[in-house]
Amino acid sequence: MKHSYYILVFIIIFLVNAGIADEMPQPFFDNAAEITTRSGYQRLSWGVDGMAQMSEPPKFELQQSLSPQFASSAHIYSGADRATFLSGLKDGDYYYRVRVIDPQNNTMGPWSESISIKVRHHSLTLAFTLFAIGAVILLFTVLIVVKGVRNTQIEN
Amino acid sequence: MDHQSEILSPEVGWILLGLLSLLWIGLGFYWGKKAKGMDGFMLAGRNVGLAFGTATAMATWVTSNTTMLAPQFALELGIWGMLAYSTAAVGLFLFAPLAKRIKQIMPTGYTSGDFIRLRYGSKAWYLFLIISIFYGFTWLISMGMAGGILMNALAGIPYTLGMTIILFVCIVYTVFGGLYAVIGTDFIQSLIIMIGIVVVGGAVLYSIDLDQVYNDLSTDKPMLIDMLLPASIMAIFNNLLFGIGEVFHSNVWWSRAFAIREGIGQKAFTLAGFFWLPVPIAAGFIALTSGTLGVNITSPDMVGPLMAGNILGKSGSIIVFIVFFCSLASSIDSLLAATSDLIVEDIYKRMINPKVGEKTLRRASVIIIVGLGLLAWMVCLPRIGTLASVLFFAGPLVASTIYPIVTGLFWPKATAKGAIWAMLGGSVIGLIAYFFLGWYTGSLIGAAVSIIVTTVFARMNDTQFDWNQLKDA
Repeated sequence: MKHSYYILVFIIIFLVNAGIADEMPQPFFDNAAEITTRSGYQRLSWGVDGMAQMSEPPKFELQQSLSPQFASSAHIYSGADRATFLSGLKDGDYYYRVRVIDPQNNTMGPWSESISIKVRHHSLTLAFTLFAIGAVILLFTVLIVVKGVRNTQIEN
Repeated sequence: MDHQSEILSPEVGWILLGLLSLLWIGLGFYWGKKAKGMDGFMLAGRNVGLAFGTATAMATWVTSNTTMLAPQFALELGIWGMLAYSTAAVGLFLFAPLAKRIKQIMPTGYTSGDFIRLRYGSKAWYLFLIISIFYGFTWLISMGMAGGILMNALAGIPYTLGMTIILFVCIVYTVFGGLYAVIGTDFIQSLIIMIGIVVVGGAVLYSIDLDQVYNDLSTDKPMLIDMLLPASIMAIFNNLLFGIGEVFHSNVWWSRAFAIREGIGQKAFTLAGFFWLPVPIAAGFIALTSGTLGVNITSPDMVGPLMAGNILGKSGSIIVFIVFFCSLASSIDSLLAATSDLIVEDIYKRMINPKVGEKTLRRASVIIIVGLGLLAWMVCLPRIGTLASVLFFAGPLVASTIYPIVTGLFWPKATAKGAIWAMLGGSVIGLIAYFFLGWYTGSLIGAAVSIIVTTVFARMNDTQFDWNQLKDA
């Protein structure tokens, strides 16, 4: 009798979990699976199939990790928005995954396929070269204006 | 569009939108009564005083670029990005002496196109018109988009409806009032913007713990406070030169130089630069607080209104809504008026119908303002990119016009060939940099090519330009 009781509980738990998995769809990223940025910022957006038929917008959780296996991860966002803007990232490889969550019932859907952002900032040599060119151009422009004004004053 | 949590209810947003629309259209009609004749409609009678002149220059420069792009710069490029944006004030400072010179050598001029045509001839003029109209149009699109984004971010009003209404309102009062209405509304709008910025700035300083902001940034977005962020180092002079290019070539500024009374243009533009300078820093800083306040940003161009609204709460968001609406309207109207002047004066009157009468010319102005607005509306509909990417695409083109303009005004040896090759070479090579290095390099490279080419051609030239030829304008 006790044995059959355990089997019944197991079957109920299995069915409930199977039901939740059915209700919680797997989201997907709209971005490419591998992104490279040279400026340290990137916009991520995501969604789930059949969102138009849902009575309420689903809530999502977005995680970031430095390893593709998500050995340790950081919470980036949870809520109904379907995009986020990341910026100020240092050089390195970052991995992201998203899932649907139901905060009221404390349940979560399956994780999306993860995507990666490779941050490779421009070299400082290039940056300072362009900075120096810009400074020279500004100086020259100011000189043209100042000298031009002085010459026209003399002419007048 | 991706879902973004809004701050005001759509009902409040619609009421605000309705009231502001009625106010600006009413004021446009009131000031429009003064617009008699083409000098009145296009140049506000060439008699604008110091207060209105300063206000219109400042309000026009406080565009979606300042209130929405400066925060985007800060969010993308950090502290340097925020400061990079404020360097656009240099454009106004340097244009101040140019405004005086323009009024001296072209007392009866109408447009920046007039200057290029008389100074360099028709080939340079055609090229300049293409660049200038393309730039004016991208600016108009970026602001139409900004209107839609703003209303969607703050009040959940659908992007398409918000964008349509703000364009419609500006078209109506510009059509009826011309530059009189534009400058009059700019004056009130600049006062609202200044008061609003002080309120928002004060609220930010009172409600934010700066140490906490610094700590959060160093943990979550460390490169935003890193002084060696390469993209932002490149962006400093890129933005500065883009700003100079925008002001030096655009008919928005030339029309104001012609409209402002003789002897006060230099002072008006200098004062406008000083009033404008702190606005992008105040607007940009709030973007850096998004992490500390836990506000999710779905699109970088939304960060300004979203953060201001979150910091100030629901009642404060009403102020933010009004300030941002004013900053957009004050620039959309200026662009509609100035770009239509350029098309009417330089294309319709000079190329198509030289014997046109004043009535027909006024009608043509109205048709072009409405047409421009409609075209901008159609391009804005699909929301093609972020504000920065749309606007900065024109960066290399406008930066390439800086030296044909400035040397054309002061160097008698500046040549037409130099101007043409500077604009062509600067635009093409600048666009290559835009695509291969990043949008934050295009204007800088475009300006570098332009200055070299213009100078080389001027050095090789032995003939002197007769400034009296410009009086034919």
